[in-house]
Amino acid sequence: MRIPALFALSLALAGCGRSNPALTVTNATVSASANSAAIYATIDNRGGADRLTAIEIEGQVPISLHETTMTDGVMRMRAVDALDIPTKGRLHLKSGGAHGMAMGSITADAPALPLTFRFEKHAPISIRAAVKGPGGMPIEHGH
Amino acid sequence: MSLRALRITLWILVAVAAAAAAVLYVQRSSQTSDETKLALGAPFVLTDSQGRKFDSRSLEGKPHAMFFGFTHCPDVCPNTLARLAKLRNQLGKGDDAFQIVFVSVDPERDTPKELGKYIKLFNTPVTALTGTPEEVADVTRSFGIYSRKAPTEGGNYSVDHSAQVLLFDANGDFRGTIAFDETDEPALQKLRNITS
Repeated sequence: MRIPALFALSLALAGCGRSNPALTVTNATVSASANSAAIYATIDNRGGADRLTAIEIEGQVPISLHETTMTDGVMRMRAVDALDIPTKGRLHLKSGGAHGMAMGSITADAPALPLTFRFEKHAPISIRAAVKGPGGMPIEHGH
Repeated sequence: MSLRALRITLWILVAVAAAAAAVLYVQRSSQTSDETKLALGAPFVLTDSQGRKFDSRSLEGKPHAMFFGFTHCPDVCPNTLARLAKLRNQLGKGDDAFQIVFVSVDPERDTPKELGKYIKLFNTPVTALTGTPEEVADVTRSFGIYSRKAPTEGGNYSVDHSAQVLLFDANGDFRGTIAFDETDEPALQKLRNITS
């Protein structure tokens, strides 16, 4: 009996990687600069692996996914098609790392904007993101 | 000429040669001590956000923090400038404690007007500079700043560039850098060092 039980257990463990992702998005922020904006957020996953494929802000400029790298003090930013969200792990969109980049200025006439995160497997998640200035500074709205 | 007059003339020549050697020696040794202070960058003239000529000699006597970036940069550049503004506040010596100097590495897109719009975001005095591509290339080269255009989707481009903040004291001597991933406390100490 022991061997089939272990076999069943290992099958269940192997199956983890193929289980459905269970995602939550928190701390979504639009960091608005003059000619562009960065989108930061924390994406937690209680299930199987998934990938972030797009971020959208309704009625605003397109957003592409970027990865910033810092090598020997040189900053490089590259567009990527998708960003990995590991099994039972976290994708942290943050300054100096992976983030969304608005391809133009964001019209920030409200303190928050509706954002939609799209994934390879998981259903899209819509959330309101705080609009802030560089470094999290408050900005005047309606300009 | 008598023998005596010749001897005096020769001694005068020896004295002149000795004095010249002494002057040369002093000049050379003072140059050496300048070099040990890590001179960085050559004098330059660029254009500020109001379209006026900006001569780097106006920084003489003022501690300053120099950062190279571009206004289409969404992440590292605005966050670096916002942090300098925050640290200058924390220093508690007012906006004159040190001057924040932003030099564009994207002179084609960063016109003086764009720079003006950009620096308003930081709610603190920032000297933002641009110029012709040649003028900017001369400045980046003399300050040891790497910058290169990197094409992105839709015919746009990003600019890969050195992201350290360069710190200069009131004598114009280069005193070190602040790295992007450095925490605030050592960064603040370095700013204290250039402003004390």
